[in-house]
Amino acid sequence: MTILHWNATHQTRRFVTIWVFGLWFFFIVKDPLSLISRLPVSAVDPVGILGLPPQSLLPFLFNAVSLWILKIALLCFLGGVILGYRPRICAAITCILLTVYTSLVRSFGLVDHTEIGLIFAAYLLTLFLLADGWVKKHSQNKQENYNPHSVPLIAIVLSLSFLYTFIGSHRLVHGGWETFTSDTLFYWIVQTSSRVNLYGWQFEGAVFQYPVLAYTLKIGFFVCTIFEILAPLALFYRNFRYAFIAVIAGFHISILLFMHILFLENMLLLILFFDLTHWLAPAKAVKEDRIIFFDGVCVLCNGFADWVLKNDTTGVYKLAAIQGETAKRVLGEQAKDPMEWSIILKDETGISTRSKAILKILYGLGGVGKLAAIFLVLPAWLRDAVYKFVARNRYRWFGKKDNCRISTQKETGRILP
Amino acid sequence: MKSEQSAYPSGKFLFRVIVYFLFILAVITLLDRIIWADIVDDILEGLLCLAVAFFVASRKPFQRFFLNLPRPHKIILLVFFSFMVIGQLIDLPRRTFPFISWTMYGRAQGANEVYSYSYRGITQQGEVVSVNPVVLFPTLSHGRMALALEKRIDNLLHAKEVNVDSRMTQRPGGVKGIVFDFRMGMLPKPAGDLRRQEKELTEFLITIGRMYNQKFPHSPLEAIEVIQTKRDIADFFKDPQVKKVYHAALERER
Repeated sequence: MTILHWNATHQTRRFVTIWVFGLWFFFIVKDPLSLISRLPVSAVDPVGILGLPPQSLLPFLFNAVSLWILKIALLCFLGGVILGYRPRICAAITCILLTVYTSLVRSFGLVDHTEIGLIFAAYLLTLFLLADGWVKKHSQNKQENYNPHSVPLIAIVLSLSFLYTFIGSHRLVHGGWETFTSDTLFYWIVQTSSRVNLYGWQFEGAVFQYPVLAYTLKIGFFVCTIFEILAPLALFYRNFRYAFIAVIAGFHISILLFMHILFLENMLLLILFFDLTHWLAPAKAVKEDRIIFFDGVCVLCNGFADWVLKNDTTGVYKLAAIQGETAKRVLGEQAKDPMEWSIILKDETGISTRSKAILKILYGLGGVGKLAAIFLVLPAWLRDAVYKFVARNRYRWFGKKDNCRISTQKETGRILP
Repeated sequence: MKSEQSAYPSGKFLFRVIVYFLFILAVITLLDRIIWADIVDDILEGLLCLAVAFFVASRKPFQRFFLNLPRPHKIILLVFFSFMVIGQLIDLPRRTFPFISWTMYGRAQGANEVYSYSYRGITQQGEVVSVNPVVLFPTLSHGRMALALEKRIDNLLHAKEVNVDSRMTQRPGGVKGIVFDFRMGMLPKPAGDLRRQEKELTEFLITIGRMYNQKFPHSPLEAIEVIQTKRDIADFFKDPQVKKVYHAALERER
């Protein structure tokens, strides 16, 4: 038996970092935060750290300018984390700003539970990033015997699963058996569904119309509570994990249908209950070389080649210039007009060009690149239109070298003649 | 990953885990005494959560993982988990945010009648329109605004004046004074007298009305009303009882 994410790699950690902070970026971009400055200050009851400054400062915190500054600063630092620019500083500042933001939006009323799992994930990714830096600095002579990439992922899954344990335990202890045997569930369904309905559907009546549905929901509620209490077992037992995901996903879908409540953030974090390392692994080695052919005099193409070399830590690909001997031998003569050239990938499945080549290269590198496969659903003519537009203008926009690229000593073996 | 050896045998590790859990329960008991919360239920809930945590700690893969962590990583995990458990059990989300209590759908409901509130506006032309505060202030969705308004309306309708507990009016000296200050800081502030509650609710509703007018300038509102709907869950398909319970005129504030 092993623990989930035990063999996490740098790519897995990077994917989870981009996933968590990317979700925050998405939610904050679409949040018209400054509108809440119009609400009366008398309605503010500060939450969390916002309770620390004197009350006289509240009007300055809740005015439109401050809220805009907060939003822009958040988006900038979130962007820094996602792009990997000064990750420790950006992540630490992001977490502080996220704490201010989430406290602020709850200061007008209910302290709700949305985003809490997501903010915990952000905290843990940041705290362990800082801890790794501290360990690296202070333990130079001592060999550390742990996988730094697995720690934040295991911690996040532990915290998420214990949140479910808390819900189930509280329900069982404070609500007791009566919570499941009485009409409490129907009371909540009627109460929450009669609030503002943003989704348009109304299925709550079906609960009263069809007794089978009512009994199913009651039984499901009890089963869900047991799975919630035992949630941390998902870290150790694969079958329980899959059953847990199915039950919890079913629970979230049910409350969306009958109560019009969507815990989108928690549902999106369920992805962390899967063994992502296996999914995100780069392509396995094969007998035949996978070769990327690129325009050796194009600055953009050379930049792409450098990026592949940097991120291809397992040597999935070799590279070669289109003007070189390897290209002549493998591909034959190329078109005389460089505008006709494109990135070409030769792998075990054959030859791929243009956008398909780019997407396959990204997919083969593993990690976040695996998400590139999503774009394969777009029609080829659309993807290639974008590719051709960039290719036609590449020399003008990015420049052209005088000589074709020659591999350095370090690159010998990776860049073919 | 290299093979690793536990720092010490499993039994000793589990003993330390139990000591750590007892420490957390002691902290919860102390905090509950200070804030006058129900200790017994919190301890029972804490024991259930810690039983699950003990099961996790007893798994060999977890011990392998935890015992090989550097000290900073262990401290982060322990402190974080402690905050989560304490925040859950003392149930003061406004003070312990983001380490809040997860108590949704946690108590049995005996009532058969469900009350809900909706909002409507009266335009200057006399038309009645539906007003959705969450659409006007999307940041305050997820029940943030809806439940806050409901609580205020409910307090007013049932004339709930949430006054200061008499035990909280006189600050003792010495160490008890420090405990008093801590308690005052942690407990929710009282809602205040009914006149103040009414003024705050009116201000809130008028702001919602003004936001509506900005979004729909061609049919501005002159008043906003709160409508209470009462539905009997024992007879769901019976027509609910609807009545107006509050009225706020916008023009008064111009």
